[in-house]
Amino acid sequence: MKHRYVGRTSCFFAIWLIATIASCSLIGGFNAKSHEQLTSLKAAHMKFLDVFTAGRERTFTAQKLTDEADRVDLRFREALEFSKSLGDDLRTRNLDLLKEIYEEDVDSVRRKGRLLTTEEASTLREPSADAYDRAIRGECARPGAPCK
Amino acid sequence: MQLDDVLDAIKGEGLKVIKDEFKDLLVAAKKDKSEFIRKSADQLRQALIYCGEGKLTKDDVETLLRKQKKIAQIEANNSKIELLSRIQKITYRLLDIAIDVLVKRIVPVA
Repeated sequence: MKHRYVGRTSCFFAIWLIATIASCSLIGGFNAKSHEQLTSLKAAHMKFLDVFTAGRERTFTAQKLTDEADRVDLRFREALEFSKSLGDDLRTRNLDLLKEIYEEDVDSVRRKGRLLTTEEASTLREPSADAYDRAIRGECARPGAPCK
Repeated sequence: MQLDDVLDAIKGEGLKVIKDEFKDLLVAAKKDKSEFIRKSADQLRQALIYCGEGKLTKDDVETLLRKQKKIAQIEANNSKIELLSRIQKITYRLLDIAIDVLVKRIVPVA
């Protein structure tokens, strides 16, 4: 009789525990398309900085800056819409932060109104690349991720 | 140039307390076990030195530091992702096994 009571209590406890944890907002699993979008956005951002770094046959015009910035901005918007459709706030927040970091770099180039020197480009590139690497690691930390 | 040289050159009423707090936080960050906190503090120290040496403009440094703050937010989000993932990967699986298999088959020891 006592054993049956203990067994039933354990079952109730286990069900209560799983219900409690389930009530916490859960994390979405790894998404291959999100991972691909992050790597692709990183490449597009780095390419943007290359285009506006002093080098052979490179020129700066305000129109070119606007065109390049809009091209990458569209890719961010697509990735954000896809992320929102997955319903995971943490993924979307990381993408929002990456977009803000990208906009910091665009604004920095716009304020200079000229091509970046190699040192200036490096100062912008390194933390930006680090931000993408960390966001990619975040995606890879999700359940079911094949990457690390 | 050292960071102390940069900070010593900053003069102003009541700035000593802020500068001392900043130095203490940098020392604490350098000893922190988090690689991100150590790296972030080191980049901040380097950026201020470059600014003091005139290698970076104030605008460059401000852009860099705003970006560092956003990276810190990404890192904070990642910590939540990692914790929730561990709960799902380990705790959920443990509970599933316990509920679906073990609890049903426990033989009470008299």
